[in-house]
Amino acid sequence: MVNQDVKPQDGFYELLQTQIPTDIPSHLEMRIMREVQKASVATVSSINIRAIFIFGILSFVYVMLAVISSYYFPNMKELKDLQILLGLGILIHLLYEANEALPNILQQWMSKKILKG
Amino acid sequence: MDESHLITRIQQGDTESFRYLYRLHSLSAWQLAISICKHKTNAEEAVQNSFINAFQYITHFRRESSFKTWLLRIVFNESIRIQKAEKKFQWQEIPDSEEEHEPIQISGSNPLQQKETKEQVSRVISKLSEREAVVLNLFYLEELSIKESAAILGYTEGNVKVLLHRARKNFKYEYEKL
Repeated sequence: MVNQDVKPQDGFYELLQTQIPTDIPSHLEMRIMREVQKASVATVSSINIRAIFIFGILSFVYVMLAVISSYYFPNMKELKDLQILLGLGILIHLLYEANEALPNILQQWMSKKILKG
Repeated sequence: MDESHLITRIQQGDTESFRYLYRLHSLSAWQLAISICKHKTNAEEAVQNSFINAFQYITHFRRESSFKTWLLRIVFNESIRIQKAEKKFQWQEIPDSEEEHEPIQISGSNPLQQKETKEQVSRVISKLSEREAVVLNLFYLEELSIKESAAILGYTEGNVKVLLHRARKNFKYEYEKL
């Protein structure tokens, strides 16, 4: 599409259009994609480390609560149900996070293989 | 696949889609970088850094402007940063004033004359200041509007018009001197 601000009859357009480069260094694409893969892996890794940290704390709190509550209320059925519910909640959340993160990790791995190939 | 869809996929972490986006805009980025950096090595560095930055910050791209304008702004800043590091670049402010420009005469259109014209134009551009070369590049090669050029250069539209007028005037003068 021709620029609406350009006056086609002024001659500058035709002259300057001769300067359109037909090619750019071919190695540039490979270099950029390699760096992009690295940057992406770094981002995915940082997400994973953060997720592991959060889940570590959550799991610790859950186990501690389960141990303490079982000690003080050993025969309370409702408490055991609550523990099962909480455990299931954490498991579902873990699966949901894995569902988000795994395709990314798999894609990085595949892209690396393609780039090496 | 359209550009908007590509951007969405990249924002979701699909790095392979970035390759297509690179292929769509690499020539424009290269053109702008080489018009500022002049040297191939510096232009390569500017383009490489710009695309990597664009990838890293693509989640910040809010689609308020076109992706091309956003990317060229990054290329422009990166090219200037590299040139400044070499202390060869002076990006100055420009005063407000604006006049009509006169057309320029073009010689012949056979392939030989075209090749000669291409070389002449290249020589003329190398005699212009960096900002004049850049504004001509954005306006006539990238075919961006005054508004888009202003967004990339960080100038007002009035300033771009003045700069463009001056660039045309100097270009015409140098071209007719040949």
